[in-house]
Amino acid sequence: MHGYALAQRLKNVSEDYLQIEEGSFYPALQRMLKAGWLKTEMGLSDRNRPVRIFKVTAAGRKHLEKELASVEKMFAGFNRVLALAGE
Amino acid sequence: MGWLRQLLSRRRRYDELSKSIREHFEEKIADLMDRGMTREQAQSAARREFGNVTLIEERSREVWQWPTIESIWTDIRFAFRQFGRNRGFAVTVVLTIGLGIGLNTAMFSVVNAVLLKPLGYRSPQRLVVLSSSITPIHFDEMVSSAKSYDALGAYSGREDLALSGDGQPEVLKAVRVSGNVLDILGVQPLLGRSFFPAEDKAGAPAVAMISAELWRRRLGGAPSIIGRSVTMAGVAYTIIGVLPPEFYFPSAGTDVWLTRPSEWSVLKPESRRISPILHVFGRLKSGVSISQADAELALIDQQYEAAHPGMLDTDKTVARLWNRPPLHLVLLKNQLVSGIRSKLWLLFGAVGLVLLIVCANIASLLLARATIRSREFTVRAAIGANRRRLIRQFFIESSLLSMLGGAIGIALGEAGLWFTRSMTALDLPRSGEIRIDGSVLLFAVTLSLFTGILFGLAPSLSASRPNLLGVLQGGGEGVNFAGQKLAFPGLSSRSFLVAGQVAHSTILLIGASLLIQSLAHVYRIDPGFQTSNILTMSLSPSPTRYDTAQKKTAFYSALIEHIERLPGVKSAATATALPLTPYPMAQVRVTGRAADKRPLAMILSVTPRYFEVMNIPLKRGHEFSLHDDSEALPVAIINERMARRFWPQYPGGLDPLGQHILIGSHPKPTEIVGIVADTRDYKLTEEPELGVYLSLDQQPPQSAMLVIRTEGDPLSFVNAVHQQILKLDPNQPVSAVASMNEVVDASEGQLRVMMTLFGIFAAAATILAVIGLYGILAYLVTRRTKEIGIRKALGAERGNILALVVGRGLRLILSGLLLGMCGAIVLTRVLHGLLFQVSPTDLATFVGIAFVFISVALVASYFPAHRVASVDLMQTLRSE
Repeated sequence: MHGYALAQRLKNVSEDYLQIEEGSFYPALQRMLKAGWLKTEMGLSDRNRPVRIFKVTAAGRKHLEKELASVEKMFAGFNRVLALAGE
Repeated sequence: MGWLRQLLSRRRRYDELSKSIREHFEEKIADLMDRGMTREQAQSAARREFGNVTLIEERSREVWQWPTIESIWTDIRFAFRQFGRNRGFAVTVVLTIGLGIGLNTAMFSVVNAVLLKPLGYRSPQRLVVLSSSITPIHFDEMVSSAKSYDALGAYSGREDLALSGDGQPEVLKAVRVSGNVLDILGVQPLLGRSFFPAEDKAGAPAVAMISAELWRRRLGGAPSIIGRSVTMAGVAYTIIGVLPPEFYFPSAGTDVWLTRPSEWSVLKPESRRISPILHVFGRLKSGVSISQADAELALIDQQYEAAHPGMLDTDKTVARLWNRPPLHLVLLKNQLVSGIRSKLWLLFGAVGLVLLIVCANIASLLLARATIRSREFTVRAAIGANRRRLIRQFFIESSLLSMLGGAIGIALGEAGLWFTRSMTALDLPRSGEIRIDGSVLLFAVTLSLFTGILFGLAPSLSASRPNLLGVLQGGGEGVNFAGQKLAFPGLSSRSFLVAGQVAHSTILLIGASLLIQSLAHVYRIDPGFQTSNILTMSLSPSPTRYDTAQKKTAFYSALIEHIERLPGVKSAATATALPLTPYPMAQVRVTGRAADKRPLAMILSVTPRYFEVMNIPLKRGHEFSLHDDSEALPVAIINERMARRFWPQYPGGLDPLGQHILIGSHPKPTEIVGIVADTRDYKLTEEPELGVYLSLDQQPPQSAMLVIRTEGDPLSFVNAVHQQILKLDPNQPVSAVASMNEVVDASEGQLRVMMTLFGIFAAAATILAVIGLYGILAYLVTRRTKEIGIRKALGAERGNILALVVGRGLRLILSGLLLGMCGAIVLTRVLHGLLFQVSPTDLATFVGIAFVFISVALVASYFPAHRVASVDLMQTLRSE
């Protein structure tokens, strides 16, 4: 996806819960580019304008899976502790 | 290698980034326009929702950089651009810092070489020397009984040996040392070998070690020197070794090292065993402390005194005669520097003060510039620079300036050292080791950095809190950076700086003027003899060719006769020592009186007419005559001080003439035939000693000083006199040629040098302080131009305006003066040892300096005040 589309998507998906300035994730994008988790390509936007698109790389996907796994573990832990609170 | 590829593709990344962001905007604007906004509305909405574009772009770029290093590099480039634009300012600052750091670097190399660096010997912290000299008998007992040392050695006083052979006759400085000297110190000879123990015993063959300098300069500089025979003072010595260059034991400038220190040629053989001629040094055993060794010394001294009562070097005698503490050990290092240590630290402190003043000046300059650049910094803050970045910019600028200044300073320091080396009057120990080496460079670099931080601090702190609104509205220079309305932005810090400068300069000026006054007092002292138009030089007739007393006497008399025949020479004489140089002493008592009243007296041997040459008034009796030679009865001339000492009713009461005195261990009583006036003997600043003059012809010495009274400049007679000497004896070298005035000057050399250096520092400091004062007053006046215009419009007279500005200047000076005076009261105590007839808190000096500063302040404030007071009223009101 290109930059603007990303921003819109984030807003929609989080249902406007994450209120961030649109430009603020550009540095993050660059960091991910530097780490090799993203790569850029030329593509077309919905309006058929030429834009740069960010795509996840194989390494990025692996990293994503690892991160997701650890987040899930964390949440599982939370849930167990919270379940205890209920007792 | 990923990072390398990243580095090379950075341009492309930046490009991509900007394009991405632009595309983002275009998409967003298109979207918003679809929803019904106009282009302009869409644009501003998009911008708002995006955030700070410049900042975000910069942050994104930073991902691809090594942020800190890169931004520091940017700052450095920016700083250089700034310097280029303000060349005058940059050059001034760099040169000023260069001067300050140069002075400090030079001074530190001296302090480093003389005081801080450990001596170049093996484990120098175990090398010790005895606090006073002892007799050979005492030394032998020490060697046999002492257990605290790895080894002990001794050396005796310097001797002058005439070198004969091919080339000009020359006088060499020789010293006799124990054969184990190199072992004790842990030094290897450059060539050849050290002495064998057997060569230290009486009757052994005559061997010598020479200095590298003598070897290269006079003896060929080839390895074949080893084993060669060189004749000195009539004796053929075999050269067995060459010492490394910069070997300065026991003192600098030694050319030749001989063995058997107890065979000191200056004394007659009979007197040597019982005279304290040996200076003892040694290496402590590891694990033995100085106090343990001292305790052992005291024990040995007790046994020595019991076995040899009445010797001149027992603790009791030394305490009685010279008021010195008992024999104890001193680290070799400390003994070398004892006289000079406090003075060097004093000078070091003084240059430190000068550097502080330099920093204050520059900080002041920077503050002024910071005020001018306030606009630049607020704009930078507005586009997102953070405070740390701005402070960093300041520090980078000031560090760059100070590093550049430091580089210049190091070069200046090297030049300054070259100048110091020619200041032999300070007589620095280890002077050959003074150079700019690694530790000095480290010091210079550290000092430059520190200086940069110091004077970067003030402006950076005050300038880094920009008051955005105020500046952008155009009134920015009337408020300080914290947003408070200040009457004069940056002024309070600058005032503080100027007051500080004035304080420091005051301290230096007071110190310098105290020293100058001391020197003036010293020179006003009447030495008791004539100092102008007298030529002096040292003679050492060869002991082999002039072996008997008759031959020596004949030589000296013939010499005097020939010299007196020269046109322009009034009279000539010889003496064993010149006034104000070291001389021997002996105990003296009057025959028939109790043996316990034996004070020490200066003993000087002179030829007839000595007192006439030196213009020392003869009070009673007569000078020596040609009849007073070795055949006749011993005669003496005493000075008035001695006369008063032994005959308290002098000039009344019993006439000392005709009485007899016993000198030292001499059995024969000596008749007093004359009384002369007192002279300053050892130092101009000390009271005359008890003095006994003996007839040189009765005991002609191996070397003597020639004194010649001339008409006109004595130094113009040097060649003529030298010719006469060579005519009499072509192999006779002379040395130490000087006019009596030069000898007198040299005796107070240390005070002179200290005074000169202090004077230079004080002058530099004062000039800087005055410049600082002028600068701040000029600035103040420009800032207040509008206010002054209003005052004038309201009817203020020119006088009131003047009073306003001058008053401000005076207030600054007075606060600085007060601070400086308090500082001086505390600090000038350090000068105590150098001052003469002037108290460290001399009221007249303090008041005088205060007066000088106030007058200078008045003058410095007058000019800007005058300028602003006379300017056209309308102009001042319009200026902003």
